[in-house]
Amino acid sequence: MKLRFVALVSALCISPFASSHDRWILPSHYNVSAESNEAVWITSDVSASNQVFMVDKPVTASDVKVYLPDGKPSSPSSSYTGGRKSVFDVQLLQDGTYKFEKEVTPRYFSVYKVKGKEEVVRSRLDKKATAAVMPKDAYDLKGSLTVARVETYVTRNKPTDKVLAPKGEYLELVPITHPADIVENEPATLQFVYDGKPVEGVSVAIMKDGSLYRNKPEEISLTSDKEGKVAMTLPAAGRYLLHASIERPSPDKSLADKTVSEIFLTFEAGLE
Amino acid sequence: MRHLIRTTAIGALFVSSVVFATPRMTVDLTLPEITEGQYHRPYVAVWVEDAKGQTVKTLSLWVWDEGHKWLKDIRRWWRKAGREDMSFVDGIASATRPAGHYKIDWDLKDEAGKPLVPASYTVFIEVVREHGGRDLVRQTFDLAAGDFTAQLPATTETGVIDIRLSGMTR
Repeated sequence: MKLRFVALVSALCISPFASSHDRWILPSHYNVSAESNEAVWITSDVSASNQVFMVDKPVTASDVKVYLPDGKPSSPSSSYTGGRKSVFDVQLLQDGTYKFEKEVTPRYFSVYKVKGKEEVVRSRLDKKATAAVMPKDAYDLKGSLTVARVETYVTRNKPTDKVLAPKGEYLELVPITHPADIVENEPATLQFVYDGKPVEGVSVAIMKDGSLYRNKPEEISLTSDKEGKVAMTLPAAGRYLLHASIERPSPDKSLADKTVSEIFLTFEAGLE
Repeated sequence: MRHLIRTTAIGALFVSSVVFATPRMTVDLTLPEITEGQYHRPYVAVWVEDAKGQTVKTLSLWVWDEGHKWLKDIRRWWRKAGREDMSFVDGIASATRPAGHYKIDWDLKDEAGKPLVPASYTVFIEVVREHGGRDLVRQTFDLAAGDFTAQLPATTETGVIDIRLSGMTR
């Protein structure tokens, strides 16, 4: 039993699909004030990069969903895909908190080896489908399901809570401290839920903007507690990228061994 | 209604003549003369929070009459008080002031007009200038401890500020 457990753990640790790039949505403003009849434009960059908010890979913005303060889904008014980044524009007409989110598409990945060959063969199919197409002398087939959420919150005038509620699928981040109220030197709490229930052991990395101009990444590392919560007090105002991830054995082992669920949240810590 | 207002006004007049019976706070605010760079009159908010950081009363809000676009830049005041109710903002906002001395009087009543309970509070002065800086200064005081005077040292955007609580003790 113990042996089998060790084997499983080591299999889970081999993560040939681990994305080395962080993906993110970076809005031009997080909190805006406006008169009731005024429409406020927000423009956002979408990219994937190793350095925080240094645009690098053109992740598409065409699948971005905008959740309005009343909870209704909407779409950006326009988007553009360039060589290093994508851009989308949204007009805020309602008061309250909006959620910008890239469409969440769970994806299967499988890998196997072929006798006599060094490299690992990658497949974008689940284990069953990969087994059907891989050569006869292939071995060591492993599969994973990855679910990534790329999201941010923007508030016009008074913050509201409707778009903060989790949907109940895979890993989700519920801001206990409202994103519009995260301020330097003040404690803030976030909660992680998995399939709608608080989840312990989520690895959370928080990185401040401007890592290109620092010699060290200065990453804050946290792990969610029994209630799925992490507490943080950010030492400086600015824009931050949060990356959370958790691996779990997949419910259907014939399709994937593990499910990797991750979140990329962009947020602002305000001046005191 | 008019009669009621007049009666109240007379009452207030009467009470104010009995000096010790009118506890009040005076914030003597100086906006310094700034000659460097492009000068715009600053946005100024003066308000009071309780010990939990909840806003009790906005004493002054000086902004440009240019809509609400820049209110968010008076950052702490916006987060604590401004964004809650925009019609309230319209009601209390007045025009920006040039450099000079300003006396802000407060009768120690909250936004609903109720006298504050004796406890610890903090008065905040936030001064933000377009193309300039931002300074947030504060003074904590305890209503249960009685009268006090305090002098807050000058910052870039604020001159020396005198704060006086009077009428609490005889």
